[in-house]
Amino acid sequence: MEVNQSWTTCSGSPDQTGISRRQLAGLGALALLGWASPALAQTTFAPEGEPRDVLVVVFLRGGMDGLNLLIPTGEDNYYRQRPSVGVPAREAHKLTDMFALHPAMRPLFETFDRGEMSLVHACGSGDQTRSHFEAMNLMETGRFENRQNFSGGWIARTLESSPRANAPLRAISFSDTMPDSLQGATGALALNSIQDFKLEASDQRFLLGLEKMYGQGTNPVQESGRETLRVLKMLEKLNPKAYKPSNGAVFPNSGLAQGLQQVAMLIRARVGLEIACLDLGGWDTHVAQGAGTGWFARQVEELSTALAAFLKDLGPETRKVTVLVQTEFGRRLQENTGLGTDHGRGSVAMVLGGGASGGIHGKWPGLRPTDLDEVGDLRVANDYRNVIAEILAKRMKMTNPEKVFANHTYSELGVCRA
Amino acid sequence: MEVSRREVLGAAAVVGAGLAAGCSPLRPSAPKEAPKATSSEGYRFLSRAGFGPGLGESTKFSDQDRRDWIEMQLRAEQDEPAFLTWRLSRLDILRIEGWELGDMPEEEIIRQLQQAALLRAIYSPNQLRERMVDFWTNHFNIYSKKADGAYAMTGDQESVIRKNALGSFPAMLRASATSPAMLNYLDNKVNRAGVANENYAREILELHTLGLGGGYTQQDIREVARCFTGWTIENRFLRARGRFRFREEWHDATLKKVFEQKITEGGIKDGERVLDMISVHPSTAKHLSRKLCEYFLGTAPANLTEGMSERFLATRGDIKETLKPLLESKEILGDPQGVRRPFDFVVAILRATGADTDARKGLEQSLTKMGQDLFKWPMPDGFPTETSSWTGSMLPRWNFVHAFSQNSIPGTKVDWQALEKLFTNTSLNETTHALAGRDPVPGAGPLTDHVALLFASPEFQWK
Repeated sequence: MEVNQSWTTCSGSPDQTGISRRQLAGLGALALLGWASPALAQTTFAPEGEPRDVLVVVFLRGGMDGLNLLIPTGEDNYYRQRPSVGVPAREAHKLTDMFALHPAMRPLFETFDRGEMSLVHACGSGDQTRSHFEAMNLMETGRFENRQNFSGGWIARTLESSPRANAPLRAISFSDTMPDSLQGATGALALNSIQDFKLEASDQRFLLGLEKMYGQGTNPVQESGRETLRVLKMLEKLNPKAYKPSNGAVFPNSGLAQGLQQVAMLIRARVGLEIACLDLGGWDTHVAQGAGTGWFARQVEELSTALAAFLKDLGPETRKVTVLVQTEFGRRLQENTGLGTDHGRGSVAMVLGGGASGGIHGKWPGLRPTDLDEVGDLRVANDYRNVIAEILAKRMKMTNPEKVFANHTYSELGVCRA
Repeated sequence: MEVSRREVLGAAAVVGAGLAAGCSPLRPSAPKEAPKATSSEGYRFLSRAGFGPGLGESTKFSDQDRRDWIEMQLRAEQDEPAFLTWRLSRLDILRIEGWELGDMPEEEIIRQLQQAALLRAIYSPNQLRERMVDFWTNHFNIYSKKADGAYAMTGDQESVIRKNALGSFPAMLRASATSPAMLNYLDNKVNRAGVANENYAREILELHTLGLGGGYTQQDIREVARCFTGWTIENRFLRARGRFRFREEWHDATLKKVFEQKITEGGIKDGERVLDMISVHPSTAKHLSRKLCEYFLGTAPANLTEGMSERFLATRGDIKETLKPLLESKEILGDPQGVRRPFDFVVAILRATGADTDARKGLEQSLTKMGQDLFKWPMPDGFPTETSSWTGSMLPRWNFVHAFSQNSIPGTKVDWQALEKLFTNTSLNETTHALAGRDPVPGAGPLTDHVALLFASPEFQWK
């Protein structure tokens, strides 16, 4: 059986296969392990022992306005369509004759200059619904088109295709609930802080009882419980409170920065973390988004200061850490009457770290009226899957990352070093 | 032995029933007897149609008893226990109109919203109504921290959700479309002629009615947005009270076409026409039936959703009628297919043990750690129902039940001695089935330990 077919079958629509939702929930991970893994384990990763990067995925939720992050100052129509929301060229940090960075990205200017930040504009999926949930789900499941019918997260598939499928603490999400990209990975955990991760019971009987009850069984609750107990054991040896950032890095008090600080600690402690997921919400700037200052600028500042602190703390270790920053879609070129912007298509993806090649990559479709799509949005000229696939290939040392995306044949954008 | 119909009907209200001698009318009272009999099917039914059996409530009943229960619960007219009424009456948000709450901090308003939701789910004998309130609160989800939205949330809860929870869907949709909290949350308050704001138009089609793939186009979204231009909120001047207001001068008067039909009504009637077109649409029937099944059962069998869709359409969106095939189904008695969300989990535990809670910080913080901070789900789709969304937070559940068994959740207490006494003459097997719908945990020690493990067990996480 084709590996890809088994994904489509086991995670596909229940109507098609006659598998119930519950069975799916239970089978999601199992099926990947049981059917897909034997084939994948042989082919997808380079031999054990070759060092792979830790991947940190920051998802900007709500539709980040890429046009105001990497600003096309060379496009007249940008200023015509955004009389209030457009960022004046003189305020922005010029990179090329066409593009400049939003001034609130200041903490990352140096990273860009060092060549450790790659930017891809007009990046996105083929989503036509412009629905947050559909567009996020599309990306997190690794689909490109709405009509593609499979679920289960791309990160879950990445994890499951590796031989170390059952190691604890392989993937962490700093969030209340599990993101779709990790759906189907029983080795993944959702938590708000690593400090919260302890059993608050002084007596051993409770722990022993849990170990007994969760010791066997293959439904998702039992598997997660067992995983939780394993991680508890591992974290007993770590003290997050004693963590001191290096190289003079100061992590701000924002949720994203605090999450990244803990990721840095786990990387340093070499507990076996492979992928960390973090969110930054608040990008749905329908009303009063501001230009060089204001709502959007504050968002960018929160993002930039957090990422800059993370990279600074890890210092030379960023050679083995890659950060991907993505969003579900960009926003319409034309501002609305509320001085905000509505849901659009293409946005900006970023790749940071020592393995990034630096610079601006991909095609730029332009902003003239004829360049835009039928609704008036920046077209998606660069498939987001190509960004991820390149990271998986070059930094995660996967030999066939297209498997994660249902046999999508990817083409390199050049965002990473080999 | 079959339990009589009267006993079952009485049992549903058991938590509030025994305001007997020695009990304070301001506290929930303990039942005097252990439940007569238990059954797994009955336990599951009460855990899905309601939030689980209350302490002392029998879970064994006949088909006729179930029909009677459904009929009574659909009427939702049982008296609330006096202490619940009293506790709710002390909440500022239920005494004072939203526009006069201005001096209260947002956090306190949200805390009281959470408190009201928890108290009602735990202590109201009208369990099915509270179930549906939870369902609709998520269906028409509003993030209460967006732009002072909290101040309009009580109005939304009372006059959109609670008022229509078992009533008419079109009436609820209409109430939601004019609810200041919703107008604020999905930006329709700034939707005006010129460049329309599509946020509300998109979500009303995708989430509230037709559902994704329900037969609308991007163009329809833009046209629906134009139909709703001018649906806004009173400005807060002088005697204005932040109510719904239609502003003719903001309305886009040019021709609109929704689903290839011309909208020619004009003014506020454009939006009303859209509501008429979508509220009892076949796609809406299908979407809602599916969602209800996912919520109650964790799965949506086609035969069930088809029957519910038919009822929905035949009765023009009567929620009671739509629910009947689900409540009367065999699936609602069957093996668990979905997990209890944290709110379900906490409420079921408190009901099963007859706990006394103020439903404030202690519970709120526990729910936040488990991932369900009520009224704070930021996106309009509401808290997820998928199992995989919730299995990442097993540890906070374990920590909650352990602290609960030690009476160390602030503001929440169980009289464990009284509980032990209540079950003195009941077999261990019947006791654990009454409390948690499962067999005893092998090797568990005293009741408090046992209770913590019962609720921490894999089986109890399933609904």
